[in-house]
Amino acid sequence: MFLIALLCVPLVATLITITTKKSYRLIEAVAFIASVLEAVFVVGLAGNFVQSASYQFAGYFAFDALSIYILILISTVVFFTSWYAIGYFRKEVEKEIVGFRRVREFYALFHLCVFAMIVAVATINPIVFWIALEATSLASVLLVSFYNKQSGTEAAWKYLIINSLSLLLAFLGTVLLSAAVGTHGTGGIVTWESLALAAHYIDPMVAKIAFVFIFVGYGTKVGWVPLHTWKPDVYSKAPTPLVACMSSAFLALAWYGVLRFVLIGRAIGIGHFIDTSFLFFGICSVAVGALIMLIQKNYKRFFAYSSIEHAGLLALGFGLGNAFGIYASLLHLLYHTLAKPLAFFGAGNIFLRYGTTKIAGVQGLSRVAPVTAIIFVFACVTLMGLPPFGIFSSELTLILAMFVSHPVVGAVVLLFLVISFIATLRIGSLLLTGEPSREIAERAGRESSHAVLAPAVVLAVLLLVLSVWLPLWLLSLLQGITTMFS
Amino acid sequence: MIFFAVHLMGLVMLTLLVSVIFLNITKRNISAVILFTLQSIAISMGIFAAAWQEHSVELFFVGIFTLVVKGIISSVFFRRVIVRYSLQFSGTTYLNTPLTLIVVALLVGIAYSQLFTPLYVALVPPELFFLMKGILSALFVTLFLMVNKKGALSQIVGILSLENAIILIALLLGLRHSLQLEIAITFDITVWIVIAVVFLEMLYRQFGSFDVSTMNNLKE
Repeated sequence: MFLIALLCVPLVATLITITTKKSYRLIEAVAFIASVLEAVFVVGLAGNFVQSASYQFAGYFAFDALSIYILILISTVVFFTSWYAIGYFRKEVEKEIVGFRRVREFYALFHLCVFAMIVAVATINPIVFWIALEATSLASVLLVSFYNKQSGTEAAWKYLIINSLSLLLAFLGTVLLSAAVGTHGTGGIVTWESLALAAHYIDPMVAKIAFVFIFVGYGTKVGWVPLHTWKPDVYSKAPTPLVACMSSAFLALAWYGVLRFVLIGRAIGIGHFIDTSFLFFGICSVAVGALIMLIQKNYKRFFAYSSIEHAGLLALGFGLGNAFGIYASLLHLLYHTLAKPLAFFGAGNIFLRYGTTKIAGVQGLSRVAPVTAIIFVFACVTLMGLPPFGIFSSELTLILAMFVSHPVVGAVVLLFLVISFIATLRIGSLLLTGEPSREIAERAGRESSHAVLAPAVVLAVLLLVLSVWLPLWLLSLLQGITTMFS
Repeated sequence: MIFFAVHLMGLVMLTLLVSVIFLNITKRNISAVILFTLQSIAISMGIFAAAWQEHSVELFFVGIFTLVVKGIISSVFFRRVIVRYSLQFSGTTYLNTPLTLIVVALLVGIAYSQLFTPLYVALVPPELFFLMKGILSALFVTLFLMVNKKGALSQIVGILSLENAIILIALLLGLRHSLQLEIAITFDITVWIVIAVVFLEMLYRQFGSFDVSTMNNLKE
């Protein structure tokens, strides 16, 4: 029942949103209530799962530890993003950047994205997963060109073409793997489970080719180097609430897709090939992400490259092929999924105040908007991996795991982590210090509004709490997933 | 693994391959749309033949969906955009025509070489190797089309052609889904086409052409 309710909420919210005429308050309330209900139903689903160790529905949907974990992460991000979007768009409407129709369009498409994400995680069918992931791209591409500017349209076009092409390649990979199921007596219905069961019939060479397509396809959505080119453009041009969601929930969803196939790949016996691919994508992403962060002139693009770097770390954890690395990667996913929206909330607040995403155009943030500055510093310190924040423990565990099994990789990654540390320190000092322009300085000390600060503050508190204390059920969920993969 | 006449399937494969090769060299937008329509009709015929061979009502509907969405709806949409903005020519390429043809020949050669024989052996019986080789050639040539063409319309047609090639592979490998799933895939493609056409119009309104090489607002 929780699943039906969970699927219905975003659809009903979409319907109410598109039929609403001129009432900002109503569509905001619908967005907020929908995100709360979604979170509540996800908790209900998780509760059912914990009680029975599995959850199936109508033969089309099922949950295991991995899907429940990803669903919890997605619903958390959706809740905070919906909350933040209310204040953010109020400000943009106030400044006459957007009007009612645009705001309504945002919420309607955002609800559709949420629906597609839930379907993607809940389905047992890799083709349905593919359709749902494509649906998230299609719903979000219209939002990338939200401000109807040339640069936004260009970014959206790039996003549409690159993501469509990559997802088609992922589809081809899925078709190659699925062919084995259709011809080996599992009834022809392709599910994650039937693919794993048919693993013995799948030729390892075909599987490797299929995995190349799958890695390229879903890896583009994750944003690994060299498949990352759409990410900085889209993150710098799309509205901040969408970017907050893309950088965390979308990333987690695409990563989920990759992991589902990894389970099948290990069953086929190409674990070594998968691990090597992960190490390749991981090192490339960490290296390129860190180096470009160092020379970045746009703070939204900076966080896009930070996302690429962290996506690389997720891959590295699994690429090590041991339980230690897998656990660290899962932990890293949790903290990154919470820290990145926080960073973008901070970036969004800066944009609302300064009206630019150029680092050179933002100075004296600590004087102009002290609370935003604290949020921004908090997000930066978290992403840098300083103690006591969670990313410190996940990165430390990752590095230790690397030094145990792949010391050279560990040394290289450590070097680039130091570079990204310096880059984050640089951007923090550039934005916080300096002399703000006269116009900005006149409004110094007056924060944007409580509506854009409150969600960021609550998210920061949640991040801090989870950094020092993980509930027992979450730990057992993480251990369950680690066991699945190791 | 042979569900229907190999010869008919060969004809479908040939139509796909020839159409994507000509898509690479044609400069006229309307020719690109006609080639894509022909290709989509051929794919639909392939699906109808498979439906007839397997006595499958579901496959028959898949054929109808493909014909309606790709053969009719997309063609109508693309033609409307071309007529509305009087865009006769915009399918220019980064490489000139002789170089484009050389690369296309190389890609077809690679698909027909021994390099992929283990893949064909693992997937289909020997009598179907020529089909796999042809489809793989079409797939490579389509990927090259996406990279080489500057026109936004050509990129869209490239994506849809790639999808056609994948459908043909799925058909050849005997991969079948439920009707609901096929409807979902068709709906997804329809929405994709609608969004792509919306973006085509946006691109023209904001940049004054379909030439993606004129878009350089994101360089920072």
